[in-house]
Amino acid sequence: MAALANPERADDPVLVEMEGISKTFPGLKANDNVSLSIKKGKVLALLGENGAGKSTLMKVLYGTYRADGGTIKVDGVPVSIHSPADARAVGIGMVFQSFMLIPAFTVIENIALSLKSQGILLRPQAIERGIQELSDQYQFGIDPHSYLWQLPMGAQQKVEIIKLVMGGARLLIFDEPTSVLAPHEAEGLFKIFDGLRRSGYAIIFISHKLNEVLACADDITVLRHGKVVGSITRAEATEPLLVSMIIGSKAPDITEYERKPLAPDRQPLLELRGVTTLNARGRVALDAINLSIYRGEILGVAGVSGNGQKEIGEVIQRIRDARSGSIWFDGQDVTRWSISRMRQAGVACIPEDPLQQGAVRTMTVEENLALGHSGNRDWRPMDWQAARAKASYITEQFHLKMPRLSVPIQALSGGNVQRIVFAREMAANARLLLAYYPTRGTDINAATIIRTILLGYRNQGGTILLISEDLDELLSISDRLIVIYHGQNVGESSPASADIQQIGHLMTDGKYDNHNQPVQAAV
Amino acid sequence: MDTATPVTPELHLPGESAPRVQLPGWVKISRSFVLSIVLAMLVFSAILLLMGKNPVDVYVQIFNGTLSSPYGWSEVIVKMTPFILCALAVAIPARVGLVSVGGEGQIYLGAIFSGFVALKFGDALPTALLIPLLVVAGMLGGALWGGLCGVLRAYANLNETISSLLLTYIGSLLMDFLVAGPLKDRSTSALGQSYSPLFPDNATLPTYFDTRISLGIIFALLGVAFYFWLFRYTRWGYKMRVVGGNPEAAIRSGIRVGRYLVVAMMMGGAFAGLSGMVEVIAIQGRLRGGISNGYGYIGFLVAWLAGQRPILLIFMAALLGLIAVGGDSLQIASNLPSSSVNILMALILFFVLRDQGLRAMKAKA
Repeated sequence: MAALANPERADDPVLVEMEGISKTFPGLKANDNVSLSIKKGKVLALLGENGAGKSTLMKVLYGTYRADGGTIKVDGVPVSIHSPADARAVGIGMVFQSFMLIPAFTVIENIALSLKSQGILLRPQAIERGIQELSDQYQFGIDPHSYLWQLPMGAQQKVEIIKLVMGGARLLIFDEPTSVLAPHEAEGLFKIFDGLRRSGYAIIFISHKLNEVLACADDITVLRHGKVVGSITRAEATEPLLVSMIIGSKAPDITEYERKPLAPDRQPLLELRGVTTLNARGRVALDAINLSIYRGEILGVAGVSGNGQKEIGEVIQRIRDARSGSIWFDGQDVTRWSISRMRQAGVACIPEDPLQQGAVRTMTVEENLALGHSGNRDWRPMDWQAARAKASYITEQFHLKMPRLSVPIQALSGGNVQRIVFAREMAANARLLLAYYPTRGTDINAATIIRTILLGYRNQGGTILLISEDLDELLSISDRLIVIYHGQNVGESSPASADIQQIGHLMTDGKYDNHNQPVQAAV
Repeated sequence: MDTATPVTPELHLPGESAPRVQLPGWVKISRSFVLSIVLAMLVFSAILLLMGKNPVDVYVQIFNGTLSSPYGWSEVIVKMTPFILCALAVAIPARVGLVSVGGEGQIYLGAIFSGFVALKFGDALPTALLIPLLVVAGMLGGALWGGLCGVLRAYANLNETISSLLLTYIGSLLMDFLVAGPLKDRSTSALGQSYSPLFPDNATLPTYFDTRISLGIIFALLGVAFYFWLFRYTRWGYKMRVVGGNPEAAIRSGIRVGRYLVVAMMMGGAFAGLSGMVEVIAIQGRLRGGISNGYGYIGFLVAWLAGQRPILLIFMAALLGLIAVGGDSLQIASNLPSSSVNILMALILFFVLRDQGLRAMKAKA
């Protein structure tokens, strides 16, 4: 569709080449000398756990981030991509998880908006013809005159594809495209991949779902901890091979954590009995899940993100209502309790996104440390002296480096805010702590410290629900491990006897490998 | 349970220096503020020139004409009363993240409620008993109008800016209806007029220094003190600031966000209603249409000019009071419509907001 820049290379199969890409964030090496080559007419699947560096790499390619080092070549010619506009100019387009479309506009208007070549006057007929041609060629079945808000997610995704193709893209990047789709829509998307591939388009497909990758990819590259683990072709790929590449041959955690033995006759502190709930988009997020957290243990929850982890915590904290089933805390039915009553009963939470979910930017450090502890009787004066004393206790206890407690946290780095929220929730002396990705974005040292603190809390009788994507972390500090898949508790094991391959299978398709079954089915 | 293990190593990421803090000093703020006012006055000068007036004369008229006489000063204070109260009606909801433009309608409801009390009980009760009753009635009327927007926002997700604006029309039309109908003065001298009978003599606020300055200014200052105390010292104010700062974090930490949205709108409405009470009881002496002169909107200006800071609120109300009084004398002296100073007020707001916007952009970059 778009003109090739370099005719004598027209029969070279490689369209885009990334060489030695590195990208560092404070305390984190997101991409470490990553190389990737993308061929015309091929689907390249980029696999890896969350935080493995897939998104960062694609943001570098699309110009959202600027790499610290490395080169990008298109048609063999080095290009410098500093912005998405640069990327689009060399024929690289990206379909994000949240679509860049305007709901109140028609398909034609959305496409017109994205086309640079448009002058002042719209030429809707020409655009409509273009949409119609593509729609016929790839069987999109899109009516150019319908408004975006009328279209289901799958159709909106097709509009995104049309937008990129009409804009001259030759490489289409899909960032976890199936996460917003219903299963039948996902199959439709793979058919579209086929069509695009036959027309010579290159596709990068980011996913962590093995079955999807095996269904549509030609080449597969696996990333872990910011590095390329390996690149293989579809023919070489098997599910066990991919699982072991993604999870890695488990490097033993060298830190020996002090761990008190658990009491033999433990009672559950919290139980979810057949709890079903919907997520923010109205889809079933927890599907009659059964889950027990016993007193004094760390229960690890493994699973690919988006399988109900977020909703488990929200249901327990009573932020989200259960559609059916019941929640029991300390022998009481708490299914209808309020959020603040749950907090007062002793549930604390280190949220997934501390800045957004657990802190107020415009408020000071001490005001943020008081969040959730301000008490009920509203007319009473805020006891700032006590809050201040507590705040300095917390900051000393956890060695937070703050210039002053009266600094608004918007002046602090994201890492510091994360630590403030962590410290506050640890200091809440809760009976049950929900810990979401507590070490995400931290380096190995800080992660070790955080794990030490979590275990110290457990050793003193605290109970933790640990949600993490880092299997090593789950295995090194959990007492018990469960796997959730599609909102169900699909398996349980103890970290000591865990079989990584089996856990990987459970995480990615909710089933066991039938050949051996060391992981027991959950009740 | 004590939380930490005996030895807690340091939680400090390498490659990260101690956090930097930069707060703009008071000097910087007041300097840019004065600059904003000067810019506004320059643009207004251009408009005055287009209208064929000498800007210097006009400014001398506004400032000197007003400030050279005790009467001028007293009138500024009289104007400050509704400005401050209506600014509170905007500032309190703003703290929970709501943009209310409904002060105008809340004024009418406060006026109607207190006017009704004055007409009904004014003969039966002494002034000392009547004043608290009038205060409560006025605040109740405003709180009702404001609270309605709060309820619609919290439990039906209806935008409070729209609903408060629309309720303003209903409020002022309700007043028009009452003084043309049920509460109309039926005496022969009021033939063809739309207003209520005069309130009984007991229904009045004490005035001071032989001017129109009334107890109202005390209410306004007490209102600012309450506002300061509420947000600085109470749990209620703390929670409201959390709601305004990050609703999601508020929900997650167990704060019932909806309740605080409603309460903030009610409190704000109560202060605007109080302003309506002062206007009809102390100034007009009867219910009639058109009592507000856009106080609700000027209150909006004051609140945003002051960035919701209590002390600045009083200062800004004084500044705009001065301009408003100057506008009245302008009409007499320069033959300009008194509303032409509204242009100046709007320009000041524009330049102050522009300045704040620029600073916010700088802070982000």
